[in-house]
Amino acid sequence: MLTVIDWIYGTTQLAAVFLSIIAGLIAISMYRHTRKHLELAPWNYLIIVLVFFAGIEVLGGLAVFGVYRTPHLTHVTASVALGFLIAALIRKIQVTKGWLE
Amino acid sequence: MSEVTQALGIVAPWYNLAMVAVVIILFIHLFRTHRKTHLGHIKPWVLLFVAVLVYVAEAVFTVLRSSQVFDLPHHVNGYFELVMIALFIYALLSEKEYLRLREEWQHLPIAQSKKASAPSKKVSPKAAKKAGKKKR
Repeated sequence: MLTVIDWIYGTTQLAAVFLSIIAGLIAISMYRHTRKHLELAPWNYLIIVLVFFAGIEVLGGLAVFGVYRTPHLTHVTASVALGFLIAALIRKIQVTKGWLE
Repeated sequence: MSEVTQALGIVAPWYNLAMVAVVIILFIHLFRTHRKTHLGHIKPWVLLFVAVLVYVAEAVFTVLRSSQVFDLPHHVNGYFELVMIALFIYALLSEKEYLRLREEWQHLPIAQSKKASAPSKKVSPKAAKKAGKKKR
């Protein structure tokens, strides 16, 4: 029997999965702009981070509902996303210093 | 579960933690640089930094729960994730709005943009009369 807390947890997980997919779609829609401007180069990496984050959320949601559980894949996806975030930050620092002009 | 999977499961959280530390250092470096140069739009990056801090808080609570030091209920993780995603979406929409405004300014005709940017000068009535006489 599910408790109220379980229902709340399930609802928040579903909301998180839904919103992360929306975030991923918004990020992909920004790709067109980032190709035009050189100073938006860090967003190329950041878009990949957000798409990976959507993947992490989907995997987390599947694990919570007991559909598919892969602890190693969740961690590896997070590592890849963090790697791209580091690349995006380095690129943004270069832009902020004016090195890409 | 194979040995590689087990090994990844043990090691991955630790190197993730190290990478998060690098990310935080880079964020601090970025904000310091921006304070000196004022180049670019920084607001989405501040929001991303807050999202990373929320991720760190979630990770810390998970570690405390697994080591049975502090037992935070599981459903709180869902709230943490919602906050992170809301911040990501806000950052994306903020950057989109900035791009839209910038493109609008670039498409303005030159005369109109000069008018908009030129400071308004107050002309005294005497100077206006002199200018009128000179024209005649």
